[in-house]
Amino acid sequence: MRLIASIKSFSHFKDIYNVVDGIVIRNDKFSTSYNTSFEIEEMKEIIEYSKDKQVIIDITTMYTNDLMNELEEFIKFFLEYDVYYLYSDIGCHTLLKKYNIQNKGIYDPKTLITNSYDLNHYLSTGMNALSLSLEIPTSDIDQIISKKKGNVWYKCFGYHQMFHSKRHLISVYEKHLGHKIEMNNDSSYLKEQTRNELYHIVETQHGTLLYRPYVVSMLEKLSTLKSCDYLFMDSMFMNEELFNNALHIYRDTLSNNKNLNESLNELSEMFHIEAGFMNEDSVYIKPEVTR
Amino acid sequence: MKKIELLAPAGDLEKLKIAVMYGANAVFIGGKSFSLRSRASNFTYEDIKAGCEFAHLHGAQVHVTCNILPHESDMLGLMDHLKKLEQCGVDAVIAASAHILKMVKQHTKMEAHVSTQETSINSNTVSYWVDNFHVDRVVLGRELSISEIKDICDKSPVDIEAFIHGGMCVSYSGRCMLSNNMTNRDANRGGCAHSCRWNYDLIIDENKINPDDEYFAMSSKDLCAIREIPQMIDAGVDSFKIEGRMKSLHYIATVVKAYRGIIDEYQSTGTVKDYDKYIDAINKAENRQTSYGFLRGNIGVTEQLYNARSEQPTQEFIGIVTKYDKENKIAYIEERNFFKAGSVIEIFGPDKEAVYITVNEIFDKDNNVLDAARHPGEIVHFKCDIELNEYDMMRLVRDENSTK
Repeated sequence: MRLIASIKSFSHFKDIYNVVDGIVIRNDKFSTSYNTSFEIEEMKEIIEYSKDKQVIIDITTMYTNDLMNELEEFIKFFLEYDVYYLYSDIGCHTLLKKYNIQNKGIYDPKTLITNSYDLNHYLSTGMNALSLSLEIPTSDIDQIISKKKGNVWYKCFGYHQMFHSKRHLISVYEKHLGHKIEMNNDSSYLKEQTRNELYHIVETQHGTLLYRPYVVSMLEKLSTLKSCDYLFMDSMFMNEELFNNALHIYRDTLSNNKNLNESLNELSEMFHIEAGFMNEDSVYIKPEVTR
Repeated sequence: MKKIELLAPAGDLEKLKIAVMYGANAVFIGGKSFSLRSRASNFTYEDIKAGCEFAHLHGAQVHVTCNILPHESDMLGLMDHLKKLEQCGVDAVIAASAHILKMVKQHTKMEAHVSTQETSINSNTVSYWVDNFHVDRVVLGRELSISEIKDICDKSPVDIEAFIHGGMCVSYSGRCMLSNNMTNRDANRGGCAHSCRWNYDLIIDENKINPDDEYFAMSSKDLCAIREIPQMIDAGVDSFKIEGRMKSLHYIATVVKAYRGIIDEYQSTGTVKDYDKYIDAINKAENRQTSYGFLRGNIGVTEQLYNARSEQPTQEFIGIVTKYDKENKIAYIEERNFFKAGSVIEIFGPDKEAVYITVNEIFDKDNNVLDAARHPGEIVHFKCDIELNEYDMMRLVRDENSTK
């Protein structure tokens, strides 16, 4: 099991260097969303510094042919390095295969991998790992992992993305209102009219994203987590110090150096934690919409 | 000339027949399992077999959606389901699951089509499915402009299917967890609660941005590509898809007839004389506001729904012709909505431009005179000098008391 974290800066990476097995770095051109957009030279600097740590470049946006061509040029900058790519568009696999680096690809389609059959078919096409859907309960994850024929990636900690639209919903709304909206992706939220929760809303050049209101943490499912090949902790929207504390808690608990209950208590004191779909499968249909 | 497939939705056997009779080259339907749109009145195997027989008799094909993202336990019975579909005569299966696509190709003679749930919006993605799963067709995502669609078609070794009409997901289809996160209803297994159409406040730095008298909205207008059809034909799209397995008989007949007309006109003459004719026809059955979606590039204010209910009134569908007695010039119709004697009605059919008649007297099956047809499903008849055909449809223009 490898513990992976998204970093906010080079100094952030240095701070957590000894805690993680790998890092995710992002930029505004090819990542769906990002804490920090690293320039190519900064990425190279991080990669050269990383030595024994796995560096994964987030290229998780969705691609038209034109943008795919730009991605190809981007990837050429890193061909000499041992880097990995996290993508959500299966077309990226075809691109990586063109350079015979498909085994450096980690496919994270958010929703699509919900059973072991699909997992193994995708894995058979040569990718390094697949991310399981965040919409399935732990019981399903356990079943899938017991049948896996390759590496499994799982986002165990962070704000879960629940919506990605190509539409620039805030910019379009600004035009509808007829006056400027001062965007701030760190403190922009949607609140549904009958609910109290605030959903992070982010607009990037690739569209609009919505996130769950609270941090989803899987730590209580320790045995499930230990059987994953990659555990991803996402620092998006988080205070760096709090995130680093959470990272240490995960590392110590996964290494059996810390009591699980104690860890869960500490996490819940730092974050409003929710379980996502960990304990409960969703339903196909209900007779009435519960708003 | 390249034959372009017009692919229509059908929620039940009657709608399938109407879609075919009004000009669809293929229909897509859902079985009782493995299909999204769980509220659509999905087909039994007997219905699927009857639907295939009817469609094939009229030179059309039947595609069956197996487009859920199945969880581990949902896979039970898959092979049995696929084999039964094949025995029914189904031509193609539309799936988002790699396993289902693989099983279709390995164990049946049906075609495998990659569902739009897979968000295929570039040529590399099409190549992935063709190279690794040997699929026969890819259904594109709805986030592409016509020039982007053309680029994909130019490079694709397999058929490309694109949406031309119907509802639009605001999120990339198949990648949305909004409904599931907010209501525990899994959109990717057919339970979408349409949370993207709800009312929200937009809050930035603790300040509400939307005015007090309106909500921030994400909701989108439906797609209507009538004006884009010539460019999409020229782009090389192989199949034009109309969305809406839950739509009415009247809607399917109207929309299919309009697109059949414009495709045939453009392919036979190289031009379209009057787009408004087709748009006006669709508006008689379309109850949601429409736009061209992403087909002309990224979307703007006019493609979104703000401060407005999408639904708009449509012209009332009152019945469908079941038989016409040529000798006595009597039309027999199955009533669908109330209408009175004295009403002016519009009649249209698969090969019939709209005609208008006044229904002077209505009779029941025992030849009793009725002041009105008021029992949906009842067969009534009336005198009609214009020759009608089975499957012709009737819309109310005005009733006897109307001042319209």
